[in-house]
Amino acid sequence: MNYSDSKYYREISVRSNTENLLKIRNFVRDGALALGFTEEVVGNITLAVDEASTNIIKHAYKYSPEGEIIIQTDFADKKYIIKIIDAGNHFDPTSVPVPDLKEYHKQKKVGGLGMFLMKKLMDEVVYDNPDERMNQVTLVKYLT
Amino acid sequence: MISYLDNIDSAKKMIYAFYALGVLFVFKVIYPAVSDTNITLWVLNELIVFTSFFVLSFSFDEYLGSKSNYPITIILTAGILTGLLFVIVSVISVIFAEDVSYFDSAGVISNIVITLFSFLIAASGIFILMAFKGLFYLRQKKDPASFYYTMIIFFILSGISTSLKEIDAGMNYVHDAIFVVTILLILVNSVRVAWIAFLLKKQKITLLGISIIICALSGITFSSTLSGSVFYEILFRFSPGLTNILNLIMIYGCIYFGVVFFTALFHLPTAEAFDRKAQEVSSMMDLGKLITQVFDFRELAETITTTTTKVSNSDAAWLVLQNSEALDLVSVNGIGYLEADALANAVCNTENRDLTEPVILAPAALRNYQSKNPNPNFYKSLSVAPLKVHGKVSGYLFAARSRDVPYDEEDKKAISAFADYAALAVENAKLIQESIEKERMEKELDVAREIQYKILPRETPKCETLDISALFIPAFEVGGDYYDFFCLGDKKLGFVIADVSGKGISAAFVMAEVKGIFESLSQLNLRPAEILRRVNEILKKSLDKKTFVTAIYGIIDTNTGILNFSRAGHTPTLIRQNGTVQKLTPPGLGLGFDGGINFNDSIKELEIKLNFNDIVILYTDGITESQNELNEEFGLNRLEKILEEDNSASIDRLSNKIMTEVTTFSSGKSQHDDITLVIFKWISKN
Amino acid sequence: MADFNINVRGVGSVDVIDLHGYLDAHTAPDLENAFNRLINDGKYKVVVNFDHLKYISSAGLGVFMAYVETMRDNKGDIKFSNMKENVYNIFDLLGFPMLYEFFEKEHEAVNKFTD
Repeated sequence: MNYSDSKYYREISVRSNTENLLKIRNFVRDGALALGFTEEVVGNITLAVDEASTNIIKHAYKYSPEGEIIIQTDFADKKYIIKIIDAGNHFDPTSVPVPDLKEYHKQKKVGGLGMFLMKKLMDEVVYDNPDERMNQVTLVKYLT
Repeated sequence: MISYLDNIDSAKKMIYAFYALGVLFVFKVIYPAVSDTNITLWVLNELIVFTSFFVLSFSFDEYLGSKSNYPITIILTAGILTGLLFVIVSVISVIFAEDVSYFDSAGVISNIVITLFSFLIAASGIFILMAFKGLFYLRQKKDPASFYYTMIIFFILSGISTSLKEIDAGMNYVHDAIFVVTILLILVNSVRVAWIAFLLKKQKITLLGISIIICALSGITFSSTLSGSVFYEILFRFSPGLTNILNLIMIYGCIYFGVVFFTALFHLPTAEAFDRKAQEVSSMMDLGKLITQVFDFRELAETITTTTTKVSNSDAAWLVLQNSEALDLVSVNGIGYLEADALANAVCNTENRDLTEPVILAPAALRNYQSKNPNPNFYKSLSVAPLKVHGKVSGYLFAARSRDVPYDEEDKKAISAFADYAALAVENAKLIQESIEKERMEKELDVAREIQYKILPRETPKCETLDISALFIPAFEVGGDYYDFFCLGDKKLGFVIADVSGKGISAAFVMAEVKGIFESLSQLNLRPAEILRRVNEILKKSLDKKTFVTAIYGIIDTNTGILNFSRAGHTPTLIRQNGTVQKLTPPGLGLGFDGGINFNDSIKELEIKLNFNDIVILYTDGITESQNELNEEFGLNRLEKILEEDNSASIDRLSNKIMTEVTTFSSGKSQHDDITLVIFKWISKN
Repeated sequence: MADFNINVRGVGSVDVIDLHGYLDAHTAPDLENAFNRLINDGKYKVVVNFDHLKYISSAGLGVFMAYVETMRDNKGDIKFSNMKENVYNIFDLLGFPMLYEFFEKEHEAVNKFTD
C-alpha cells in the first residue's frame, strides 16, 4: 500500500521522550475520532499506541531521548492502521511473556503489561522489521 | 576467699554482705568511735569495717557486672551516687556545723544515726569504686586486672597506714610513700579510657556533661572531707582507714572523670565518622548473616537497598541486575520504580564509560541524565557500584542524594562494600536455584524411569516357530526407547521398536503416547506402512517442532515365516540368511515431522521370507552410537561382524554376546542412551 | 505539570490521593513519589480517588502494583474509588478486580479501612 496516495494518510514524528506521549495520543485520537470510531474505541486505540510508544522509549531507546518515533496512520477497507516505527534496539516480542497478574504483583515487576493491553485492545498487532535498522509495530482496528 | 566469693551466687553474696554489715553495726553501736587509747579496739574496728565493706563490694560488683556493656548506665549510676555523696556531705556539714565535741557526749540514738550516715557514705564510695571498675574493664584488650587490683591494694594499704600513722607518728613516712604510689597508680589507671571511642556521638555528648559534673562533685566532696571538717571527724570516728580510702576514691573520681571529659571532648569532632563506620560495620554483619539465612533474593535485595540508603546517607538506593541485554530492576528504596529504571538505564547505556569500578557522578554529569528523564526530583550526587562475581559484572548498586552534599571516597567505599554483598547474594541465589533445578531434574528422571518401566512389555511372546529375545538397558537419563509385541490373531505377530528424540520426562511422555497409538492402530490389521503413516499423522499434530520418533513396525506370519515391515527413519535392520548378513533399509522418514505428504510418499514396505535359522536383529542407536574413550562409535560394522561370526545355540546368547562387546568397547564411558536389542530367529524347518 | 496533578489529603487515619488529568509513563513517577512520601511517613492506608482522572496507561497501573505489597505488609492497602467506566475497563482487562477493592464512592473505601 502506498500511503501517500491515501487521503486518510497522516504521519507524525517525535523524539523518544515520555513528554511526547501526550502529543502522540492527541495525534492518534484526532485521527480516530474523524474516522467515526466511538469515544470508547478511540480511547482504546489511543491507549494501545501509547503503550507501543512507551515500550519503544523504554526498550528500543532505553530512555535516551535522542531517538525518533514515527507514527503513520491510514484508513483502508474499514481498517484503521497505525504503524509505529523506531530505529532503536531490536525488540523480540516473543521474549515478553503473557503477564500473570498474581505473579507480577508478587515480584513487583511491571513490564509486559503494555503488550498485553495492545493485543487485548486492538484487532491486529504485528511486529516486523521493514529494514535492518528499523522496528515496526502495526496496530489495526476494524471500524464496525 | 576472693575466688570463693566470686563463685557463689548473687543471693548468697547479698546475705553474706548483710551479715557482715550486721556485725559491723552491732559493734559500732557498742563502740561508736575509735580512739587511740585502746589499740586493740582500734585494730578490731578496722578489721571489721574493712571485711564487711570488702564483702559488700562483691554484691555491688555483681550488680554492675550485669550492666557492664552499657557504659552510660554505669556512669549515670556513678554520677547519681557521687551526687548523693555530695548531698550527704553538705547536709552533715550544715547540720553539725563545726561542733565536733558534740559527738563525744552523744547518746546511743545519735550513735546509730552517725553510724548509718557513715554506712551510707562508705557504701556509696565503695559502689562508685566498683562502678569505676566496670568502666575500667570496658574495651580493654589486654588483661587490665593486675593494674586495677594493684591500685585497690594500695587503696587498702593506704587505709591501713592511716591507722598506723595515728597510732605511731613515726609511721608517717610509710603512709606518705604509699599515698604517693597510690596517686601514681590512679594516674596510670585513669588514662585507660579507650571505651569512649566506641560511644555514639549522642552518648559522647551525654558523657561530656556527666563527666564534668562527676569530676567537680568528686573534687568538692574530697575537699570537704579533708581533715578538720565535721565530716572528716564523723568518718574518722567510724573508721580512719576507710576515711582515707574514701578520700582516695574521690581523688580517683576527680582525676578519672577529668581525663574522661577531655578525651570525650577530643573525640567529639570524629564522633560522626565513627558513628557511621560503626553503623556500616554492624549493617555489614547483619547482611552477612542474612545472606546465609534468607533464600529469597528479592527480600535480600530490599534489605541491601534500605541499608545502603541509610548507611551512605543517601535519599535513594536501587539495585539492578544485568541480564543478557537489559537491566533488570530488582529493588528500590526512596525512589520510584520508573525513575530508578530510567536513571539506571540512562547512566549505564548512555554513558560509554567503564562501569567495572565504583563511580561517583557529580551534579554536572547528572544533569545530562535527569533532564532527559521524566523525573521531577533532582539528584545532585549519584554513586554507582558494580556487582562483581568472579570478575564479571552482574549488576549495579545505585545510591543518590538530592541534598547538596556530594559523595566522597568513604561513601564510595561503603556503597561498593554493599555492592559486594549484593553480588554475593546474587551468586548465592543462583546456586540455590541451580540446586533446586537439579533436585527437580532428579525427581523428573525418577518419574520418567517409572513411566518407561511400565510401558515396556514384561515378557516376550512364546512361539513354536520363532525364537524371540528382547533386551533393554536404560540410560541414566531415560532415553526414550520403546519396543512392543502385538498378537494380531491368525497366528500373526506384530512388533515395534521406536526411539523418541530427546531425553528425560518429555521423552518418556512421548513414549507413552507412541505406545498408545501403536497399541490401538495395530489392532486394525493394517499394512505396516499404513500403520506408520497413521502414526505420523497423529504425532505430527501432537509433537512439538523439535521432537520426532524413529520406528520400525513389522508383522511376522508365524505360520509361513513371511516378514513384512516398514521403517520410519530408524536404524537399519540386520538379517542373516545362509550365513550372509544384510542391511535392510526400506525408505521412510522419521515420524512426527510436519508436512505429511513427503512422509506418505517416502514410506515403503519390505517383505522377506524367513527360512530355518534366519536371524533378524532390531536395535536402537544406543548400541551403534555407544562410544569408547577415544569418542569412536561402536558402529554398525561391528554389529554385522558379530552376527556374521555368531554360532551361538540360542539368540539369548547372541544378545549377551552383543552386549558384552558393546560394554567392553565402551568401558570407561557412561552409557549415554537407552539400549534396546530385539532378535528374532526362525526355527521352523518348513 | 498541567497534564497531571496529585493531591494527597488525610481523611481520619486514611490518606486519599486525588488524581487529576492524564497518568502515563511521563507522569507516573509523580505518583510513585507520592507513594514514597506516604511510606516514609508511615502511612499505609490509601484510597485513590479517580474522579478527575481522564486517562491511565499501564505505566500508571504498574505504580499500584509496585506499592500495594508494601501497604499490605504494613496492615494497610490501596483501595480505588470513583473510577470512570473507561478507566475501570483497563483495570479489569489486567485482572485488577481479583486483587484490589473498588468502590463507587470515596467514603465507602475510607470506611472499609476504619470498620
